Amino acid sequence: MSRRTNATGRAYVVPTILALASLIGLVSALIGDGVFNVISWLILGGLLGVIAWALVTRRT
Amino acid sequence: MQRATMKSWFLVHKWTSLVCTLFLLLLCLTGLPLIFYEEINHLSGAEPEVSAPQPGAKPINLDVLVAQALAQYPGDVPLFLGWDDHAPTVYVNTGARPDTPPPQMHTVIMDAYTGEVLPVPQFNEGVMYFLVRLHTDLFVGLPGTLFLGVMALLFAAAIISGFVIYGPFMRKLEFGTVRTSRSSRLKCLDLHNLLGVVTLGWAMVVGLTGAINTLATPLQAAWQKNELAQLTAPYQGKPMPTAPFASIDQAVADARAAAPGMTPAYVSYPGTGYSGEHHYGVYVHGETPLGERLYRPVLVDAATGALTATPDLPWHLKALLLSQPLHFGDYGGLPLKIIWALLDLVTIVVLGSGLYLWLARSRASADVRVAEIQGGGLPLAARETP
Repeated sequence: MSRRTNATGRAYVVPTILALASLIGLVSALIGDGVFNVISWLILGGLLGVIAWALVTRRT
Repeated sequence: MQRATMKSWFLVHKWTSLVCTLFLLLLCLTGLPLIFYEEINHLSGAEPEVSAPQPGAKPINLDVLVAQALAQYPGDVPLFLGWDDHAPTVYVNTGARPDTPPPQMHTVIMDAYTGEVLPVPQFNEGVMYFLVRLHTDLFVGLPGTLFLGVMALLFAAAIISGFVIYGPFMRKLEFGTVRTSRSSRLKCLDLHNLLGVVTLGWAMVVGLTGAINTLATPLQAAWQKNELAQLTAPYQGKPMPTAPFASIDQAVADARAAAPGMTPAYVSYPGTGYSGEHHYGVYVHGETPLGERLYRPVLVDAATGALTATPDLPWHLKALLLSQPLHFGDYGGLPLKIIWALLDLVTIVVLGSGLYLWLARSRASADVRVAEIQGGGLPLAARETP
């Protein structure tokens, strides 16, 4: 595997984790109430947190 | 990735986005207040405020409530009746013909225990209904709905192609980088990439479930034509029953007995498109968040009151029912709705920034853009001057 392919693959690590977490967050509140709702709020709300974090710390 | 392949993905992203963006902006803007449909209706008085029933009070006979509703609209026939999950009320939809479409329906909402007719506006009037039509069929019925479904599929294709070109572009950049000090195009591009990739999973699910929802009417029609027609084969060719119908109160009681652990949610009359030409469809549902969505029809002969069948819905109708909450965001309390609204706003920024990138494009050809993607997102200085 070339260095270029490696670097491209690395760029997908965080987005893939975020996408899989999103799916868990979306399904969780569908399965049950109470703690299942809280898991959904934390994960999907966390996406907004990631955006805020990037805008504050990754701005150049 | 091969240069030619990259160019194809770039062009797919560009064109699928361009075709769907304006409609997606419309869907995001009209969808925003629709997330809070229930809350807005409560605040605006469109949802009736009723006090809890007296202890030991018995609900009024449904046949009486239906007769009362029909008295409000002489000449109408009953279409649907149903219960509110959060309030002790019963609604009855009536219309000139059994197949009256929603825009022409009349609705009477009554206190389930006193029978009092509650003074509430019609669901198919007012600002919220205007937004629902804009969001679901552009005021032209099924063709409009299917058209929006195609737009949702293009949106999904734009997300996938965007994801494909994201990796090479971000090759030399840290996740989340937003370069604000170079050019406004670059700032917009980085923002578009960040917001788009973070909300990717959510946007994909909301987009695809929206597309599935646009198939509701054709799927219902197909179910009636196939599965339901088989179950009700002995009825074929018989004339549609007319008033006086068999007791709806008894039909609901029988359906309750036939589906233990389930609660009736609504009842369809014959000819409304939900239960064939000869039957009441008493739609029952469970109690859990998942079971609440999975309605099951209990078919009761509308002429004789005999229970005919309790069919299991086919997988595609179940998929349709489960895709509704995932599109509406109404299944995890108010906090989830607020998050849904914020993610919707982020999507508006993704669409807007994408549109800006296209409108503010320099004369750079697709080849230059592809070079930029393959260069790992580092712009070629000469091409960056505005």
